[in-house]
Amino acid sequence: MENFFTRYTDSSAVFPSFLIVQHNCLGRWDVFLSLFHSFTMLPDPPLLVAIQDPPSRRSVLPTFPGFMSFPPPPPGRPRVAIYVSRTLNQHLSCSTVFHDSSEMLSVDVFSPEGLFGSPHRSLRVTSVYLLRTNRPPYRSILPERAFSFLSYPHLVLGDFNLHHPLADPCRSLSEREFVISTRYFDAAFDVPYHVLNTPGVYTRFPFDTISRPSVLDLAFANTALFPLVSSWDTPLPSTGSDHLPCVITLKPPAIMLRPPTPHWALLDLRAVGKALESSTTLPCPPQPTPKSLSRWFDISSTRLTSLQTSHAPSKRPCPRSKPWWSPRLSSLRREYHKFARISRLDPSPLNWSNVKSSRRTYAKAIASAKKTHWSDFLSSGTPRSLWTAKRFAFGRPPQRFSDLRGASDPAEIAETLLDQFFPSKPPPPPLLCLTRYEDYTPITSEEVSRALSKSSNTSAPGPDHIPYSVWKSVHRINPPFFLPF
Amino acid sequence: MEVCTPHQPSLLPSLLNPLLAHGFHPPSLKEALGIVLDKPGKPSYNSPSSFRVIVLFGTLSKILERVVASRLSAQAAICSLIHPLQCGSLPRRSTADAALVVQHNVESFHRLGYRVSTLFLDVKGGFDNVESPSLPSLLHQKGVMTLR
Repeated sequence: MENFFTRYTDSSAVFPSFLIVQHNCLGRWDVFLSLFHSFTMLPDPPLLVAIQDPPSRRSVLPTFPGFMSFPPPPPGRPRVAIYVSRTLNQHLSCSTVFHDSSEMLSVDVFSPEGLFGSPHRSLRVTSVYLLRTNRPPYRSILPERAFSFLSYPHLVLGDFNLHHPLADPCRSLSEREFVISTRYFDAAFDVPYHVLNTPGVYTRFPFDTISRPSVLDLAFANTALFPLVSSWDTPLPSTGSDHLPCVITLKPPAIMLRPPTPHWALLDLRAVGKALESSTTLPCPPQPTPKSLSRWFDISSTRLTSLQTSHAPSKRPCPRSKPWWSPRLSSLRREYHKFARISRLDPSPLNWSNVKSSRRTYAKAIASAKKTHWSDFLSSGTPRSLWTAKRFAFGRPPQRFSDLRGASDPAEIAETLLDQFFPSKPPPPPLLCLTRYEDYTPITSEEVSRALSKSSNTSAPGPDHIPYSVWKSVHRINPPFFLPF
Repeated sequence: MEVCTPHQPSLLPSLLNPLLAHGFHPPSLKEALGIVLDKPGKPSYNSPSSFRVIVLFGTLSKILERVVASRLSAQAAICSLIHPLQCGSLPRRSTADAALVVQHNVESFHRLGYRVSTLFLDVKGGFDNVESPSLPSLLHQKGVMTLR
């Protein structure tokens, strides 16, 4: 069961940082209100708020201006809830994912452009509330259900009611606490998920002074999300609950990953045609201003290009990228990792020497495989392999952008090049209104076909990354996408 | 409302026609991707002039430009705005044609007993220095009917 709201823009441009807040409200209204009012103390308003034990009346969640509430499916009192900021909902598409439990709820955020410039188009945030039970695993949600494998970024956060030395190294644990929590942490590490909590930073301060403070509010990020996590912190003041609100900040990684190149040859044209037919039309504003007309054009063209991009699978690394790889290397790698694992569990000198010898064998095998492959390659040269041979012989060309007229920062270098090649001109007078010329001759599809027929399929595409071949096919199948103007 | 039939492709025209009707080129179509290439054999690469930028515009922008350019060239042919010996940037004219014209002129003058010398001029940045505000009225004076 999913609700869809579709608005498409570049997420990294709209949201330079993405704040997610998690808190246990103890089912109290005053805690809920204090939490939402304290968001003014944050540098940016949070876009998602994951709440455990939210206050509710007859299973209906409280509302707060600027947020939309998502409860788990009825019946029963909601034990978790996710509040999505209306700003987020306006710019990106959000859908709720239910897990047949009132203690677990997910929200998927979807951006066709890729979140934060990363190749991933989706982000899932799961709010969980692990209640104590009498039967194994002694908590209300199975570890395998909480930490499922997802190929896209996934954040699992909530009140886990678990004590584990990784999150709380100073605590002396009972054996039972350790056994229960290890099962969950092992399930998380198998997938793998990473703990975001700073070890030793308490998130729960009990009301009675006899009990110890502890770390019960945990956040886990899977490998796809981990590079995007900027910080985990508890900067907000107490809200009246015995838990502290946790704030997780997601930011674009320092090294931007290139979005995956779509494999245009495998574009599913039939699906594109169907999707265009079933998508909603967007009429052009009747008396547009320059701003509204360009906004209409941007939304329509982005919708069209994102449809095309989403129906083409991404290009995968080619098997020829490591042509020297062999099954023997795979078995050597497996052996090395096996010894390394054994040595981590039992760090004895014998195991360590096994690790060292297997690592040496593996590294030597790689070096000799590369050497043999490249010497064979050079001895059996063909005219087609000439440029690969040249690149191999001369290596990569040196970086020539280290210094350019005193500019060393990439942004400064880009600015210098822009100044040189495109000197700034005085801006033209701003257009305030547009007049519609009734005597204009509309563009016919034959004119577009003629323009497309002269264009090369292999011509390099611009910022939209869509080559002429795709436009030709889309133009040929003729989906009735827009209202005729 | 018209009904779109499979024989009347309407996708790209209906996206581009409102722009043409209002004589407006949206800023998103002016965005381009610049790829910086180094000119080979330069002694130093500390100056921007050792590089060349290849600018790639979006495909939609190029389709619109191509449609308008083909309309303009048709108008230019009707209004005979182009010199009959113009060979550059015209369909079905090549450098070989230009060379043939030069050769013809040189040989015909030789036959008449003249000495011939040829002067080649290269106008740098000609298109960059076109005064765009006065261009539409100039074209209108020359008899170009509908630019939009």
